[in-house]
Amino acid sequence: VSAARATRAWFALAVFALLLVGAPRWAFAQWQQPRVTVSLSQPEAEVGEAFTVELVAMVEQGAPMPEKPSLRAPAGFNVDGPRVTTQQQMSWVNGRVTGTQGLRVTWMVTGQKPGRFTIPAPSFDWNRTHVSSSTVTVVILPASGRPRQPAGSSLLPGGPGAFGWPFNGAPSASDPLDTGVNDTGSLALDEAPDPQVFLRAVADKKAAVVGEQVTVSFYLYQRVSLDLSERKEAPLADFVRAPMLKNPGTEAPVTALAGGERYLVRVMDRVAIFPVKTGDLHTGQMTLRFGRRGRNARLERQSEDLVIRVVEPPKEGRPAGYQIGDVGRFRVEAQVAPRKIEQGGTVAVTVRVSGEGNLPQAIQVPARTGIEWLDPEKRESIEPNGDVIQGYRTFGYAVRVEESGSVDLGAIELPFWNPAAKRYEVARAPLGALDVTPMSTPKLAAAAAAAQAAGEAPEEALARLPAARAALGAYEPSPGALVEGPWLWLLLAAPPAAFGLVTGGARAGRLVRERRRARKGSAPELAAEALREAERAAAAGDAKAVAAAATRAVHHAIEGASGVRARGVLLAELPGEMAARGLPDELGKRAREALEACEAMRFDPDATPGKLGDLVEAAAGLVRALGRAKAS
Amino acid sequence: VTSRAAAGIALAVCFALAPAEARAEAPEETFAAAAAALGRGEFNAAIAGLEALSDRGFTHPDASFDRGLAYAMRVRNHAEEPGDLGRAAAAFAEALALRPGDREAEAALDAVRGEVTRRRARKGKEAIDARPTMDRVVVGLLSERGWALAALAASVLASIGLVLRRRPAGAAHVAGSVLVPTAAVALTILAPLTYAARSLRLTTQAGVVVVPEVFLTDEAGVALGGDPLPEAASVEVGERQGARYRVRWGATEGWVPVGSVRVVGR
Repeated sequence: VSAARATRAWFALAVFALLLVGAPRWAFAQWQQPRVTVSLSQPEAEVGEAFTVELVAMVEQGAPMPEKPSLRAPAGFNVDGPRVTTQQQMSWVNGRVTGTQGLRVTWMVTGQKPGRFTIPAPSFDWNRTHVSSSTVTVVILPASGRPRQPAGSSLLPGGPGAFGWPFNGAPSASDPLDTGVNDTGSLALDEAPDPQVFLRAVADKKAAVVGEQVTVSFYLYQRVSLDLSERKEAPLADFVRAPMLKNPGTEAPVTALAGGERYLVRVMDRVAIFPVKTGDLHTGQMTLRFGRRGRNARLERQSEDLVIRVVEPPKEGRPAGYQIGDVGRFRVEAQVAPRKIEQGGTVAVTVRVSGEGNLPQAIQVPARTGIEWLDPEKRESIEPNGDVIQGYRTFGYAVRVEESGSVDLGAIELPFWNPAAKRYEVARAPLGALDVTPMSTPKLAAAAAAAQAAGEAPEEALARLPAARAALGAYEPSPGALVEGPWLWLLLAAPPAAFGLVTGGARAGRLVRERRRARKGSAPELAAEALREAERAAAAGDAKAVAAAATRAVHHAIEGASGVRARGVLLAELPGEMAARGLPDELGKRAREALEACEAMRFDPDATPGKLGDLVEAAAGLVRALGRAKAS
Repeated sequence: VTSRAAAGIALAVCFALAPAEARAEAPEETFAAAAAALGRGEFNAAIAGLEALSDRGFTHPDASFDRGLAYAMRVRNHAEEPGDLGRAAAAFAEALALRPGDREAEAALDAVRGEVTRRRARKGKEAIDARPTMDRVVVGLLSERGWALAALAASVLASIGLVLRRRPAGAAHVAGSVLVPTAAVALTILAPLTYAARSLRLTTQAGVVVVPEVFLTDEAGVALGGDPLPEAASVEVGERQGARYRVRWGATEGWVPVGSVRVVGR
């Protein structure tokens, strides 16, 4: 029995281990709890009047998304929905971007009886837990009979009533399309992408620097009556966004011409976006879905995916401490209180950054050894003003001072890029000096002990850092590569190639020499040499020498052409011998005549220079003819 | 009067056309101001100045060293921001790359990495050490210049051997007969190593992780799994695609966000 128990225990342990190993990473991840808000479109409503309950649940980037939102209304309430849209937000601290994502869920609720009611907390599932938000209270008043938003209308930001015609009914007698065109400016289009309804995105600029405000407006053009059923925001994944409209979609519509037709045009949203990185950044598309009144057909329209070219502000003239993304026009003010403290005490430093643009999420403080700046408490008020986002952000620091005497806190400096002036500017607020009275020795010892107990002892590994270098020492940049590219391989191949060239050249030279030497003893070469001797002798008028040289030339030529050694052959038989070796008969005859002429010249006492020249000429002609005969 | 006016106009034109750099603060002045701030313990001011120098493309081992020191001081004074230890390690690694053998930079880099290990141990995380693969170890034994010179020497020796081998039988002929195959074998090994060292130089850069830790992903952005790259770890940085770098850590390759790695200048 005990063996069976042990086996079961081991099996259970193995299963547990497998589960641990196989569990997904997110199961162990330590995500922050979702940030949840619940709101009512209005605190009071009449019986039968619709109002909305909105739940927004945001989690950090990468965390599981909230899901399965639910609302359990009390008895006597009708609930329509939910309508769910996803949201993504990005914030920027010290040039680093952090993102959140989540859901915006809207229910349309209608009360059936008067009274004060508490609506139970909307809830959702997240990371395998059930998360509840907070309850909300609504007062339902008796019906007064005034016109009101009927139940079952669109569920959109701004609550019921946010959209009049054309979203919630057919055109009335005072159809706005009949009022004429009241926009002749930027809303007019030469061509309409759709004859009934289309969505258009417009950016106020196509290029910007990182952190510069770009305003994007989404316009809905329509010529038919529609019920808006779903709205999906443009992702704007590479931008920090700030809304420019408090209740998007509630702006009064105008009419404009598109493709020659009148359209009713409504601003569906307008956002200020601040690019967080460089490149060609896409805004993504806004998507709207509609139901056609009285029909089942559903329409979906998407805006353009705009591309904004984003670059960094210029590096030239960039001040020290500039953080990429700090773009706008800012002022910095600072307050320090109190000015007189005891050593080890703290002062409150409140820094207020105000202006327009991408207000920085963090500022660089003049921290230094002996002055510790604790994490700031931030407050802000940022909202659109006209076409720009402006406001202020305050940073409340507690600053601990470990030094004594007159301690200068330095100054807060905020370098930023002013896109209007296209230059860097630095907002500055001096903090002034503190009067710090020294702490007594026993208090110092107690403070040191307390700090050590709190684990604030200096980091051990960094306790003994070397001293800073006050001046630039000698520095020679590394010499780099020996040679670059193909030259390196040529250099490596050069020694063997040089050896090959030298030895090959030597061998070639030797061959040439040997050939020349061989050619020097050949019959044609000897014939030519003999002819040159004959010419020299003819010039000297030496008939015997001419005859001898011409005879030698003819003999060598015959030998070269036919291999017949003519010296050992009778003149009478010479033509036959030559013919037997394949030479023409005519050449044999010419050779015999030439040799006979040479023989006669040797014993001719009246040989004239003309005769000698003729003989040499005849011999030379024969030698050439024999050479050609051999070649053929 | 006309010539004076012309001279005045010419001077004004010269001023107007003078390069902006001429009016900007010289790198030496910026460094001196940052070093003075560091000496006073104003590490934030020092960091701002030294980072501005780096942004302007100014490289000097002493500037990198002081930058690392400023980040380390910020950590030591409990004013650190996430990634400061990695940035300190990157700066010290840069100082060493620019001036190999800098004992102080070596010691400071060891101290920073020691602090990272200590912090990981305090959080119950193991010290992760990625060993380079054999090819990187072999190629890293010499610099590219060293491999190229060795290959060139082998090439020259092979040629000398060929010359000696042509001599009549004797000591020179024997020496040539031994030298030729030996140098040829060496050349066939050293030439590819030179090529590999050159390819590494042209296609990769040294980098250091400057976030507390970062997970590698594949090209589609899906996590590869395995241990994350710890802060201050040295990596080999390859191509860049948008906002991501391809990195190699030990034998593991993957993609990380550009902001999580600082490329070390050389």
